[in-house]
Amino acid sequence: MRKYIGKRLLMFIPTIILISFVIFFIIQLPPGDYVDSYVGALAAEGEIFTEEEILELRKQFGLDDPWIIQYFNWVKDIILRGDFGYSFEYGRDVWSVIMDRLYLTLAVSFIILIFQYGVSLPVGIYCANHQYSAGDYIWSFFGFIGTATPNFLLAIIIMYYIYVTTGNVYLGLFSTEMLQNGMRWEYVPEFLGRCAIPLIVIGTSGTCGIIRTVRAQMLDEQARQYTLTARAKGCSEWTITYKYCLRAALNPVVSGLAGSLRTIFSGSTVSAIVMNLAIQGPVLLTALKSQDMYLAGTIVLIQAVLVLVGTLLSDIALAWLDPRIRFSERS
Amino acid sequence: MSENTQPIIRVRDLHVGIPMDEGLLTPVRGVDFEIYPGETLGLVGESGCGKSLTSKAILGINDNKCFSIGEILFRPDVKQPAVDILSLERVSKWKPLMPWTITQRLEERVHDIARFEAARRVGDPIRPIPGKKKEAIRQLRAIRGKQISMIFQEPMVAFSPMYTIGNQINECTRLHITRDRHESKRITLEMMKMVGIANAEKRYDQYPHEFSGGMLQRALIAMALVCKPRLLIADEPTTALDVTIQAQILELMQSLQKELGMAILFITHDLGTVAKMCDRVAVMYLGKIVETGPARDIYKNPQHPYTRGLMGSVHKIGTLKQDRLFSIEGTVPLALNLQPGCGFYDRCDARIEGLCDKVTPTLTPCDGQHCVACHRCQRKEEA
Amino acid sequence: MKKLVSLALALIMLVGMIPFASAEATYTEAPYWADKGLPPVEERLPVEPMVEDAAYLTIGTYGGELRRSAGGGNWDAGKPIEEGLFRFTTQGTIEANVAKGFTVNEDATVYTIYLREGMKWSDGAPFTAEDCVWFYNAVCLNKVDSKGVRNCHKDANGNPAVVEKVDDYTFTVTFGTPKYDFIEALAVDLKWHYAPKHIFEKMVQAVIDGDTETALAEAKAICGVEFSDVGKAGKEMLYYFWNYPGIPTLNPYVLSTEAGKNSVKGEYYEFVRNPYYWKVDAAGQQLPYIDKIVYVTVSNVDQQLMLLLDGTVDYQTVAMESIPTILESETAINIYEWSGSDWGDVGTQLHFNLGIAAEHLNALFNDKNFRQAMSICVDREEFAGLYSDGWLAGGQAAPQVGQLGYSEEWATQWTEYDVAKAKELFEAAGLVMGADGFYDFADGTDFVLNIVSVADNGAAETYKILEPYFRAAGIKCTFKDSDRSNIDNDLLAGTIECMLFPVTGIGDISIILKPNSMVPGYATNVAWYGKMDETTATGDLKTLIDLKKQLDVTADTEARTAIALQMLQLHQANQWTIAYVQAAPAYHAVNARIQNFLAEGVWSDIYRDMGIAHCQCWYIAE
Repeated sequence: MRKYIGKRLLMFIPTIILISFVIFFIIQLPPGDYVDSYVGALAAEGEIFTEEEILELRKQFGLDDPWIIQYFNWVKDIILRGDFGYSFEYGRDVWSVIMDRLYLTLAVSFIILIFQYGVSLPVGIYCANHQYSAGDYIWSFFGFIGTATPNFLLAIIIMYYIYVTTGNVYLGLFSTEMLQNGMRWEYVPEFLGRCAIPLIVIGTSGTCGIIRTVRAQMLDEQARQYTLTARAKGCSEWTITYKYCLRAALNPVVSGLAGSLRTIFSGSTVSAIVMNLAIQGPVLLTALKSQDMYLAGTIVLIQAVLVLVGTLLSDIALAWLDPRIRFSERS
Repeated sequence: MSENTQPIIRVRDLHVGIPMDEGLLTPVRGVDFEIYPGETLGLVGESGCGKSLTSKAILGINDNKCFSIGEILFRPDVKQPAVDILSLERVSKWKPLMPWTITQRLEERVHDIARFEAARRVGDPIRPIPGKKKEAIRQLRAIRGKQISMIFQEPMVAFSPMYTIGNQINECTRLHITRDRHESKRITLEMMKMVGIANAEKRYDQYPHEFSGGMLQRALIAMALVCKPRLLIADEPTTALDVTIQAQILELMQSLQKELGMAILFITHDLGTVAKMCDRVAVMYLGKIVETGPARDIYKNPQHPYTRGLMGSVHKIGTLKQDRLFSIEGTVPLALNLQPGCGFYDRCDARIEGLCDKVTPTLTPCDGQHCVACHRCQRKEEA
Repeated sequence: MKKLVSLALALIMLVGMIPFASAEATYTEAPYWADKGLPPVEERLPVEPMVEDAAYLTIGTYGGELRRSAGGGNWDAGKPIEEGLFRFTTQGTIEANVAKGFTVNEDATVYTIYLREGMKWSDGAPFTAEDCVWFYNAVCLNKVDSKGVRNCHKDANGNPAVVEKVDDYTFTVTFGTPKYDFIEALAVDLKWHYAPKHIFEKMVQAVIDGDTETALAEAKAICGVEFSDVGKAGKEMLYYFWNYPGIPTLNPYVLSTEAGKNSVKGEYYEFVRNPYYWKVDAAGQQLPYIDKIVYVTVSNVDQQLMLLLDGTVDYQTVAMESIPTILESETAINIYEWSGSDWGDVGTQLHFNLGIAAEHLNALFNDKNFRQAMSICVDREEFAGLYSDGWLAGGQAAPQVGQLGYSEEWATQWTEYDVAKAKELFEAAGLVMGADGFYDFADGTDFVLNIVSVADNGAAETYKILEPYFRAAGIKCTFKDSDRSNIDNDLLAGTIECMLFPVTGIGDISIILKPNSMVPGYATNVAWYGKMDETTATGDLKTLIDLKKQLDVTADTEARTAIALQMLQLHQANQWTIAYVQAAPAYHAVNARIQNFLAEGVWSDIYRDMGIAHCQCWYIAE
């Protein structure tokens, strides 16, 4: 097992180098660079820029070098100093920009993840145990609706409905009072209420897939011989479902977790913009639009690393879960 | 073995049906047999004649799609009244009558329920059936694994690949005997050694995919016998194994039977094993038992045309290479929407037109314990 | 005897003067300062604080917060609270602000500027002429704020002026050649002309010496931000100084220094009242009335309207289309209409790039017949109805009523609807009707008018209404909208052919003060002249630029106005850009609880957009 993990970790390095190169190349591909969007935005507000000023700016930001050199400088800084570069938009180093929103992003993403799996697993098991019952159809129906409706549309509909009934627009996770005075106990109910909207919008989109997968896998497992053996031994239905069938059915679910690590980091972008959530996704979008290269590059690089790590972790989890995989690795 | 002792299990008029879109599938159509303590009853028949469903019905572990009618009276202890396992199963599977299940229930009733004969009481005292579902489930679970246990045809898939063998065998002990970890592990190891698994401590922590076929079957036997059940149902335990292993397993089963004093219901389609293992034999065809009796009688003097065909089709030592192997004409028909009459009618070379296709033959004794369900044999008797 | 009488008279007069002499003006301060441990308000105000007593103002009460939402942009927060040395009135004249006044010598080469005695920075340090002089000499001359010497400080030969201190509250600005509009230019270009020397001295010295490390360390010590290089540090802290905590200003509101509220890039930030603010109202109350301006960041500008509707935000500029929704909402919101300064509604301005490289297009766009034809081939009445749902009438790219150069004739120039005449004019411009029903160039090459605009600004819908008219007149068009940054790119490169709803529309309140959008070469992102400047301009465009140069060296106000009129007449004669709908007013949606909002104003950058509404005079009354 250790050798296996070690080999995988070793494979990380060339993969990440390649990814970083591709990311950087693509980000700088659109014509122009950060200075253009920067100058444009300010010029629209009435500021006047001369040609020399623009050249000055380019030099200042280090954007007058060819992009290969910019790339090498960036990589060099990362490796030697752990410095991920400078965000032009925010005027400070990239890492502090990411850290700003990191905690909230993680918190929101974890809550959503727990909601997703916490709802889908029991529902999937229920649907499998009571196949073709009313409950099965009802849950599947809601799951499909949640997946089929685009997230941002659902967010807008919910916000509109809340505005029409209460006259308040619950935009964002924090009200102005909360931002002014910091979090206090009396704000917790409102905070939870505001959390509910992103939870419903983002959470429901993922649950359907998991419900159907779990349901299908469980039905599969219930038809197997060892279920019969267990029943013949006198095991309770509960043991059969949760000890035997579920463990085998979790296989695809655990594989799916590989991608969720990345989602935890960046959160959902479109929904975040619509609901004004201060998470990582919109930061990446703005950085890409204004060609804030180092910020965008770092965020995407981190996501790539998380995908790799997530895959490795889910492989390890699978091996732990299913001894057959362990055995085949060993042999 | 003697008529004085009570049978440990008595199956009366067992019918198992599966409603399908095309009609009612009736794999088991009225099966009666008894097993006495300490004896081995062999249940013989081709694939698809309903043997597995019968044996699974005894434990009540058939699919939810199947419904069973009849009585399975289990009486391990003469001092206690018998338990009707089928009624327990029915109560444990009770579901509230929802509007959309009514049609299904009605189907069950409409599809030729009139053809099924009413269950007959023999006069044995029967424990009252609990009205509550929970109580029924509890009683059923107390029987399964402890009083009656089962071993299956393919040991490779009978174990869950996720857990160690030791864990799975141990589970049986912990369910029925003791909850103490160390005590149960000790009992399990003992059993594993008894079935002949070498290096039991090491094997305890290994997974099913690390065992060979024969080892797994031994482990399966260990799991079935660890609680010292009164009845062991062996559903084709050696079919998937090589011949040498087969012999070992069969010997193991015989020795264990002697040691533990349990009865075995041995299901198979291999007549050679039957000859070796069984005291009595029941031959099944198309869901009914067509002939039953002591093994020697059946082998020496098969009555039913089907049994005779079976005996004839076994390759005997000494036959020449160029002699063609005897086989019965035709194949087993599907048990769907069957009409009254002998099931073997289409393939029988001794059939009586007008009688055999109209009237269903019943099991009647022809020679002491030897019973046959055949019009021709009955006629011969009379004559 | 006479001596005694006169002495007694003098004594009586003196005695009589005492009550007046001792009758000092009494000032009051906001309860916000009650227990903050500050010196009394009289000591915080200058000897003669400026009085905000415009006719429309009422005396207000202290307290409350002004809530705004930020869609991004430095100037959005900066313009409303800016305090320059001099500022504009709504009539376009100059009035004293930070500076008390000025005098100028006969040949307009030396300006003397007088400051207010006793004025202080927001951290309590005295504000003196030293701050102004040092700013020019240390910061501007050495380009520490990256903008360097502004145009207002350059004489006719481009040489920078000499700024010298006379005493603590007086300094002079001396030019090599006569500079007639220095004060106006100052109010447009540099505005503030000061920086807190006591804060920045060390850092600026380090920058001049080339000592990067010290400079950056100093920068970090001042505002807590680590900058990547001195250029950025200098610009951010000396040019966008209101964006950083810890930099004292003369503005009515200063960025909070509290963690979590002190970053304009964060979710939430506050501008807190300045304890040393040097203005009072007519009743002697120290301004501003409102305690804080708080900003909530939104990720999408559409959300600003939502926050306005539910009462989370107090003030927002709004588009015409949103007004019915606002009036319907439950929150009490007042709509104020200001006149704009654009020539025609910017959303319908069509800019042809007269400096485009491609020869065919260059010749065509520069041909007046073509532009006239493009203007008269559209039925303005119908178009305006479709475009603005009846709010606005048809118009032309011309100065608005009240602006210099306005004439009824110009405002209705080329506004008739005559497709036949348009076709004649197209042919006069050298186009030939092709077989497909569209005009082509004389040599047979296809003529396609490629119109671009910024995505999501409504231009796509406008184009859909316009295109049928062009098609009917025989012009084949395409439309492409793209991201803001792409458009900015193309503008800088000068590759745009034709732009609808330009980023910088033509027209401003004064061609003298802010010629950027009206005279080629004065800005980098104006679509109608692209990269054209004095070296590449020809014909009337060259004349236009020459006139502007002449204007710079003209003393006499009347003469200057005459030249400006000449420039405007060139515009009228050539109509280099066209617009289809009259200029729309600028609408402000203000929560009803905000009082003293300027009901009739003009929206222009020269007036600092919302700045002319003087937010320091606003107060909250439910």
